[in-house]
Amino acid sequence: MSLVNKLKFRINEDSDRFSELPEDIIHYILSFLPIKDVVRARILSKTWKSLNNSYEIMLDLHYDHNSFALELLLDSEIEPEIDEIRDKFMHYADNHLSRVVQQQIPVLKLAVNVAVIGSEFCGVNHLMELVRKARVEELSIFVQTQDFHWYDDEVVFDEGIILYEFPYSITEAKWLRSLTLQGCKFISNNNSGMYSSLQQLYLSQVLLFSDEALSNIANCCPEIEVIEFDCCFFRIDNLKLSKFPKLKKATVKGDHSNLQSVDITETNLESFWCNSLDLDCLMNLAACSNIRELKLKQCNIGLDLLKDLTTYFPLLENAKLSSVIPYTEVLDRITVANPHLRSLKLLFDRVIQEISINCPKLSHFDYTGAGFEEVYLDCPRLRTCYYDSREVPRLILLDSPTDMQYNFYRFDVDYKLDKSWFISIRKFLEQIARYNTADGFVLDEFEGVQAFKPKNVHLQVQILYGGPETNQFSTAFVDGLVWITRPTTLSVGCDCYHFVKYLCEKIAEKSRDSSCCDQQLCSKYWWHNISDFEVKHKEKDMTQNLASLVEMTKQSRRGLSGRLRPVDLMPFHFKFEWHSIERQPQH
Amino acid sequence: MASSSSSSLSRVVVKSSDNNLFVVNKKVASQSQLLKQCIDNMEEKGTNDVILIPLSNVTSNILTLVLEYCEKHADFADDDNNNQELKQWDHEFLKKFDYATLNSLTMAADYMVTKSLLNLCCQFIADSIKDLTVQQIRQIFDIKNDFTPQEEADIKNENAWAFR
Repeated sequence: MSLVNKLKFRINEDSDRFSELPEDIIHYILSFLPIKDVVRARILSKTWKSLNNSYEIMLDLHYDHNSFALELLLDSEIEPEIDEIRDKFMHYADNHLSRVVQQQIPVLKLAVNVAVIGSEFCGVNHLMELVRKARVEELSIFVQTQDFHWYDDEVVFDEGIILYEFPYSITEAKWLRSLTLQGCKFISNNNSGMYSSLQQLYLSQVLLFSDEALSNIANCCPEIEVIEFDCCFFRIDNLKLSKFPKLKKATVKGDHSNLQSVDITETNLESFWCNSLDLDCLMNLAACSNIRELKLKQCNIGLDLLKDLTTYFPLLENAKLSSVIPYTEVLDRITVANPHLRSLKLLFDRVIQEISINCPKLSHFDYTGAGFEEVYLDCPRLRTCYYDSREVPRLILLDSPTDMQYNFYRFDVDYKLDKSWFISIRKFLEQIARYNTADGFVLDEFEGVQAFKPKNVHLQVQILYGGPETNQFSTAFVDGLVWITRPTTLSVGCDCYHFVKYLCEKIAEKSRDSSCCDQQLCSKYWWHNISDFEVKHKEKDMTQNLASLVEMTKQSRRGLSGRLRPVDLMPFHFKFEWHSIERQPQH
Repeated sequence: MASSSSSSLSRVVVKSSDNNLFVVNKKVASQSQLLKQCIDNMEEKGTNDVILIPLSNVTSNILTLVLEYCEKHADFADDDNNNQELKQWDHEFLKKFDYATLNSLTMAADYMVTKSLLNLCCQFIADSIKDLTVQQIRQIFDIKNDFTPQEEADIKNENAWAFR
């Protein structure tokens, strides 16, 4: 040891001797590294960059039957036969890949898309043999057959379907980390003793013949951490993910014929995504305890878990739950109090009595659905809030920072609505504007003294239907809405002719008739309380030109989509300044 | 004894770049293809003299380490069963050095054509790079960053996927 210490002392005086290694040794060292690390090493120094650049790697290698066939068709005068195309393509891929294999050039991504005629799989087998020898890190294989094409959406997985039987031996390739398969089948196969270091497996439209086939994959690929099933065909009704001992992330999406349930019990998953109609997700307390990311859509996880996300998912950071309540069940209350939760996105298509969110780290809350009657949000770190529902919540209690980036509420309005809707909106505003509620509020047919003065309400109105019969409604709607909310800004869009027409008529009359207004603010007509206003269409100032603005609304298209840029959906922009109660209105 | 055959020659002398002499058992020396080639050549000539092999590129400090490695591997040369033990020893052996030493050792292994040691060193260096940040690699390997911030940003942009 003393010799070693001496050595360290002596040699440390030299600097950057590492870069003095001969080029071939540097290349040899690089050959032990994954390509990502090789590329990252380019940034170390100029010497490293030039040494690194002379080391040959391939980032993307693609053999695609379809584009090859297209080129061949465009180049030749007589349309080539299908087997001629196949043969030429195979020949080309074979030649090219052989060279890569022979020189052991590392390949980051290799994609192979081949077409098989009838059951002639020998060409594919030969190519796969080459693929197995290549130094590939991410492999993607798509085998088309007469029963399974790239343009075929509806594949019928019946008994006689011709599909390429995926050779397990491919997974043994030393550098392989990620494998994507489309249109192959796995059959059970005695392949004990085979070992693969594969970490990520993505299966799309793959046929899994039996539970043993799945066990086989799990046995020869024990390192798998990420797995995805996308529209696969199972001959089993329960997918047991505990077969994969190191699994961290699992995704099940699309329609999976036959499959009834996904079982994640006895796994240690960190991320679970399931988007598959009517699939049952079997979970238990232990299985969920490590989950940080949970995205579920249209599947059923059981009401007990939903009711108590906090206990079941103690580490949850990101959750997205859409339509996860079965129609036969009733859920009246959801409580979320997860200490690590940062983002929560919910979509429920039925009214639920109460939601209570009490998460110290939550920064994004997003809800779309029928509505909650009572909403309790206690989230001191909330940055954005998007709440979109049919019904206005009866009670909303917010404890969130005052400097939120984005605080958006959206409610649907039926054009036959009555006064009570405005009352509920006013109550709602009163509740969320908690710093302004001290004065109390009395609403008497919109004519009461306006003691509660909402501040900084930014109103966006998107009228999905505004046909001639809504003329009367628009008048009442504008009156009610503006009176109740006293918006600082108001953006309108879509089918909004009647709305804008009436609005413009009234703001043009501002302060004109002063006979009705006493010393206080006008308690009859909201437009008498406007001290100043600005009107814009997109960026163009239209304040002096209200008549042509109204004409422009006729061209405003009807839009239904909810999340375009607001400026495109609601291009008519009003900005108001209001007389305050302390000041005498100027008549 | 005077007419001893070439096979009776059991030791060679290796001279380091700083003129230190090392007496090495032939079996140990054979771990290096360079030394083995020299010995074979001399033996073909039928010389009975002690063979002296000068290594102009390897200092005695590094040579000591290479020979330590060769000695251990010569011990295990006929024994396949103790592979695991040898692997463990290899790992412990390299773990002791700082990267500058490792660097010299790698060069010596390359020069002396000791393929398994070269393999071992390169794999070891690669493994150490694998999980480090660029900053850490520069620090440990004492690599001076001679890029301007703009050049560095350009490389990052060109290969954005690798820096994610």
